[in-house]
Amino acid sequence: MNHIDMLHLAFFGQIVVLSLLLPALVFYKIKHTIDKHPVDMYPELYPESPEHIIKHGQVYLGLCAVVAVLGMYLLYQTRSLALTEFLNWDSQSVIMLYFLLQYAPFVWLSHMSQQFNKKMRLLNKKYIKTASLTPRKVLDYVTNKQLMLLLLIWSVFATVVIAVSFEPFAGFAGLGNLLVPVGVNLFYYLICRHMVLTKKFNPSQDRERFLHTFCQAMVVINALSGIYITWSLSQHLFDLRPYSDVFQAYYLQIIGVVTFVMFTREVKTPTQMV
Amino acid sequence: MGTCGTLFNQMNIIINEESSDPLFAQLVGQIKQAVAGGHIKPGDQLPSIRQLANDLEINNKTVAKAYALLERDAVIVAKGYRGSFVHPDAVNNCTIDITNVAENKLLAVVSELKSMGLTDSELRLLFADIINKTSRSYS
Repeated sequence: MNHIDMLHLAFFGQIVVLSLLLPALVFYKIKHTIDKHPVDMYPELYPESPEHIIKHGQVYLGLCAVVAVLGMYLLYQTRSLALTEFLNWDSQSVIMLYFLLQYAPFVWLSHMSQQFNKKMRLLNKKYIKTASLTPRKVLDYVTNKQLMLLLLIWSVFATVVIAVSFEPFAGFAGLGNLLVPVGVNLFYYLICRHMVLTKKFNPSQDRERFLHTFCQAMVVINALSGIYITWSLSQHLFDLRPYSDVFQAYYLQIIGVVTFVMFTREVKTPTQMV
Repeated sequence: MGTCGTLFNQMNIIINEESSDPLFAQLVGQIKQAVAGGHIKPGDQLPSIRQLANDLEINNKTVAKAYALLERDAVIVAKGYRGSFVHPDAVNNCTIDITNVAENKLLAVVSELKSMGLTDSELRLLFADIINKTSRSYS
């Protein structure tokens, strides 16, 4: 199997996992949590009927299916015309753009969830409000071991950048790559900080549990980003650059699965997932 | 300042939006109670204005006003970007009600002026004039 066949197989996997399998699991999880929380026992969770939530879930599944069909058509065209690059352009860019397209229905579902949460907040308007007098910090939700792991991963990345700079490949950005860990870690830190300080999205949410899950997910995604970027640069050293698009397609699938598993593990209410 | 003593529980701030006490006054009262009750100790950090406002779903300015009053009363100290901390003498300072002190002082002055023969309307005009002058000089 040559690297083009491997790329097509990886892209097929990306379509199946991110546009069919995970959306189906998200929909199943929504239905399952609704079944576990009947409207007559938990009326505070339903500013709108369960059927309304399921309908939105079905629209989400439909949108994902459309994206999957587009992906399959793209793959079919590429193979039938025997193109070496997707759309005869640049496979890496196409894979990334297609990933963003795959992510779009989830963004829509999240938006719907936000609207639902606003209605839930109005339904359960309380006049007595509580808040902890203890300041929250991002580092309360990340262990020292995890920080050491991130430090190790990004140190390896820095070492690889320096090694490659002695024998650079075409398009290598030089030692400027050393700024990548700063940017990536700052990005994840600011996302976590925003979540730690912001209002609760879902009024029925256990904030501490959610923040713990969220920050843990960010650590895992940060670590995976570090490993992937390090591996991308290392491919040059091992003459594996033709396979970089294959690795990217698998990396995006891993990110999708990890995110799904972490965010759905502790779902307690129908809209807590997104 | 009004307080909600029965509503205070451990390290939690509890506000009642239907209470006749303004929200900032409830915050000030409860933080003072937390200090006096030993729930938070001198040097402890308080949550940021943004965190507290978001958790209580109230305006940032309300929390900022409460923190400013607590800083004035030397119950908390603002340390720039590091945040707000409980003042080293907070336990003593939070028992002093500055509005009570002001009331006693004004009572003595007004009684003395009245004994000199000034009428209520003259006193009101003078008081308003002094307030305006001091406001201008502070601004």
